[in-house]
Amino acid sequence: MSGPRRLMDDPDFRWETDCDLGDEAILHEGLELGALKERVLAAIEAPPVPPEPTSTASTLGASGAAVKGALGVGLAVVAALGVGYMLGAAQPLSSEGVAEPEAVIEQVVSVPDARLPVAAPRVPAVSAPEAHSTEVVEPVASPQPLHRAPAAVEGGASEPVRPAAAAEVAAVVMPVQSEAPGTAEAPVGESGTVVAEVAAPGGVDAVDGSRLDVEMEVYDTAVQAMASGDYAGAVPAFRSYLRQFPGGHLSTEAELSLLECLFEAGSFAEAEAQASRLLQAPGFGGRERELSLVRAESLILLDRCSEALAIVDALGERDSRTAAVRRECKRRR
Amino acid sequence: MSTEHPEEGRVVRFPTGGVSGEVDIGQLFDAHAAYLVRVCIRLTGSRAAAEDIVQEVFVTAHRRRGDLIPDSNLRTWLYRVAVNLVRHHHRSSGRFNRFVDRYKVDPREAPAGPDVDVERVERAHLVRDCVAELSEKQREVFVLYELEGISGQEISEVLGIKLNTVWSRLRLARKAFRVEWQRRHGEGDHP
Repeated sequence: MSGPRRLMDDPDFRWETDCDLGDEAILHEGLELGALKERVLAAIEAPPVPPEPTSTASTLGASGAAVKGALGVGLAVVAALGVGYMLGAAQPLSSEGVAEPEAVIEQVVSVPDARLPVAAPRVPAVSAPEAHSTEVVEPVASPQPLHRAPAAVEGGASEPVRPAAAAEVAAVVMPVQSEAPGTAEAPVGESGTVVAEVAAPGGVDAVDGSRLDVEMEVYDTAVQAMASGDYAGAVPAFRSYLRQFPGGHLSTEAELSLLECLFEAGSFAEAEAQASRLLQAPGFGGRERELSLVRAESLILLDRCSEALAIVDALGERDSRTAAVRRECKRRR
Repeated sequence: MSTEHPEEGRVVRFPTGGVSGEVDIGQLFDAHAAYLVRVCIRLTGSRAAAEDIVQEVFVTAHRRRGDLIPDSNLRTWLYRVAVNLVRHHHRSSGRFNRFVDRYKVDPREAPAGPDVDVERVERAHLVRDCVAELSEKQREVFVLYELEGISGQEISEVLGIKLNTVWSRLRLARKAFRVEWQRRHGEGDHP
């Protein structure tokens, strides 16, 4: 089957629409490729770059194992589904990992579908000014089914995730709020949405497993705000989650989602600070490149191009994203 | 085809024109870069991004030179890598680019010269703008079939989809393009 006649050769189409697709070719006339050729040759002759340590497969394996150890197989799967889109999608293309076209497709195309998992080690809460005491909680089976919300916003919404059956969940240390027992902070987003109004963990029977539900309710509230595009409203919601549940089941995802929301909400200074903090925090190993790029992009938008350039220079390997940072810095000079 | 290569690092071993042999990466670039840049511009709408992507295509080809299948269709392979890198580019840089776009006015690159038909250039930009409005999947098929002139079979191989899917996406892409063209061009401007 040779296919339909191309519109370019179809006089009916041209008559009906007054559109000649052949006109578009004029935009490509005189394409000068000499400089690009030099770039290509220079890139090829540059010293070889070691393979990326976080190819899709290896990331899934390493992080998956770590998450399994901490939270059980079910939560590992959930975590793999729920990582912030931005950082998952920003997984750099490892040229070393690109083999046949099939491999390219698998590595490049499948990235947003197979959301990259995050490392399992818990991130200590940093934003909570209150002193927390802790107690050991044995989670009980959660009645909530594992689900993914259908909402997906173009360009980066994460999807809410829920923990797996708690029978597979290891014991975790949960904080007890020393303030306002029984009621958590109910931040209000810029859109006016009340983003969290749930019982605080300290006011919940720690043994009946409802604490897990409370945690998920707070987290879901934040993610739903994010999924609906209310990034400004999601920021205080994620902060509320992190403050209430430092070291919670999804604190790593919440940290990454918070970074995404800060950037999307245009709070570039806070996004830069968040990226810097995560780069120093435990549990984000293997995400240095993505976090560094987000930090660099935030710095550009703060008109701090020299710092952004220093970051991408330190990253070494060039790709389209680092090139975009360099290009934008050059344009702004 | 076999050539002398003073710089071994540039040598790529895979077929060109159906004849297996070693090809200097510079020759490979000369043979394939133009259409790759062109298709990447059409898919991304940005020459700078297209050049970055094409650079990655050749770097990838060079690094995988030992793994490429002899007698495979090199053009299809390069197209596939390019299209997938474009997809990756859209995802990874989309957010950043949105913010960058918010702060700048991107002047249109227009061919210069006394013989340039200004009206034709405007219409060329209009075509490009309409293509940019297509969904990513539709845009891929539309660009490859309508603008690049690639066969449906090769498109199915490039995109890794069934031939029937190529045609269905093309049909939808044509419909969407026509709607967008009519909206932008104005229904009363033509017969």
